[in-house]
Amino acid sequence: MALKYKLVLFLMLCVFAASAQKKSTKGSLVVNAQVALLNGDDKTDGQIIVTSGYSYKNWVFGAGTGFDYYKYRTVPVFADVRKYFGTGSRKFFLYGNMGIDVPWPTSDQKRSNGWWGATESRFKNGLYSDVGFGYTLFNSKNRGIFVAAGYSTKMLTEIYDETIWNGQTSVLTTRSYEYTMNRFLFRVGYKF
Amino acid sequence: MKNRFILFTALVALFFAGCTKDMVSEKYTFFRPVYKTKAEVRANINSAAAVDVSTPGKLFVKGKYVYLNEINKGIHIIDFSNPSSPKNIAFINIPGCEDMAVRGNYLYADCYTDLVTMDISDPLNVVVKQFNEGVFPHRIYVGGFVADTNRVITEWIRVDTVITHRMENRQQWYFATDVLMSFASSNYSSSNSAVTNGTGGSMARFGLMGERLYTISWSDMKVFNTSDASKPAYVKTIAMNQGSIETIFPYKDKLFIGSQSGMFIYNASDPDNPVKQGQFSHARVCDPVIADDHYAYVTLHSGTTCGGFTNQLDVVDINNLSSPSLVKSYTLTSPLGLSKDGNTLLICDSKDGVKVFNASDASNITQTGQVSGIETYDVIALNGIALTVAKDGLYFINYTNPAAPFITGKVTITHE
Repeated sequence: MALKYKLVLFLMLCVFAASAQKKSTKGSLVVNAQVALLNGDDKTDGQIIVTSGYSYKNWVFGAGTGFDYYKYRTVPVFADVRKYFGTGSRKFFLYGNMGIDVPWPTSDQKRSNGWWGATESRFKNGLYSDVGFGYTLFNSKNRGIFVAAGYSTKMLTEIYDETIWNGQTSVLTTRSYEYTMNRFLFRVGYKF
Repeated sequence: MKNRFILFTALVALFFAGCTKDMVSEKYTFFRPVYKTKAEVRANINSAAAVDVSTPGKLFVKGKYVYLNEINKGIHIIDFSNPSSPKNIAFINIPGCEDMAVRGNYLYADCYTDLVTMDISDPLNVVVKQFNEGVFPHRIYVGGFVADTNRVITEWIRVDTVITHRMENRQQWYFATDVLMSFASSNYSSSNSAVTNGTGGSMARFGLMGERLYTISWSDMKVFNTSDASKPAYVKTIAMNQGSIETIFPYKDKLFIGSQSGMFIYNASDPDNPVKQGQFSHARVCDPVIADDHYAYVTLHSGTTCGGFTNQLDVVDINNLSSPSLVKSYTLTSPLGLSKDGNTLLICDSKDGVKVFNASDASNITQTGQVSGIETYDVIALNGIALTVAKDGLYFINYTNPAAPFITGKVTITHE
């Protein structure tokens, strides 16, 4: 778990550091800090992510990470592409994120199994995607708040051992759950 | 621009409407029972060619043959007239068989809820003589699965499956219970009649004493009159007023009953009406028991459904049957079946193999030898040869020199 924390902090530091060094003459490095409300099947939860990328003309290519609390706490790590339309401080944009979702479940999100030799479930990474559109409310320096709406999918796999009856004795087998969680999201961010 | 944005938003909302279902693809394994009618099963109870031993259960010896249960499938017949070269000669198909006993030329075995009697004069051509129907109504499957009383399960098929379903907000906690492997047993027996009884191990749930067959379930004991060995007659059921009954060991006119909470001694001088005479309680563990004229030997082991934390041999003074008392406890690793031949005591101590003890002094039992390298469950000691059920085979161990027991023969178990 500590490794995941460090990874997120490292990526955050990287994007902020990149933001502080925006010296390019043709493009610029940008950082977006965002929070989102995730509305899924029967649950609403939050997400905090930071993206950073290189802005060139009306395109931004970058990467991002953060925390996603929908049903299972996870750390998405993804590539970020966005396209702005129009000029000035009020612009419409489309974005797309694609990457992996690293599970970081809380203790009560794990299953425990068995009266004897209890085991906890294990998790494997899954895919993470997010596509949507937004609208900017930037200031004259092309910085400021933006809002967005999108559709996000995160996947992860939970595995645990279980003993089952084979008609003669109990045998150890594995049960796995491949979760696919789909959410609409409403996002508010700030572009630095 | 503004109108286009609103239109786009509306289209996207429509497109994704209903797309927030969280799904889970669940991959798991289960075993599916295969049912047959009782008539189909009975028609198939017969001798067949020898098959590999796969899941050995209880053990019974009569003459030169070892009858080894293949749990829920039948009984292997092994000729051990030459212990150095035992021969697996035949297999009797008996679906649902877990226990057995041999009296004279007749084999008694459970077939799910029924007791089946077979003439085994010719082990290669056994003949079904009788069914006592429904005498074992307790035969339910661990885990809450109850066998259909009109049909029986002949085999279990492994099924690996994947299902996709709606993901619940929070999956229900799942607690899987471990299940004790029910392994070797059989019964020691005594007989005063011309028709002799076979010999079994210490983990049996069938016990022969004279002309009676006693069987135990979780909480009661049944009595069958076997004076006509070919036609055992149900006599009665005796409530034990006690659950977790595990083993029965007949000795002379006493029945020593092992349970997870203690050993019970029943006086069977009136063979149709055994009455409880004494009791020795211990911590909650599994406990096969055997006895001789003065002492009962109880192995206690933990680590399974029996629970507990005790792994030892308890020697109990039974000179006063109404008030048995502990002589001494001996620490062991995880003892299971045991057997005694004269002053030589043999104990299956799981992964430690078979340990041989000098039990001439109950208060000072000392280990004299050991056969290591095999994981053992149950043993029958017969005149210098110990028939031992282990994880990988049925071993024949020569203990004529208790200080240096050695393996003289083996029937390999082929695990499925």
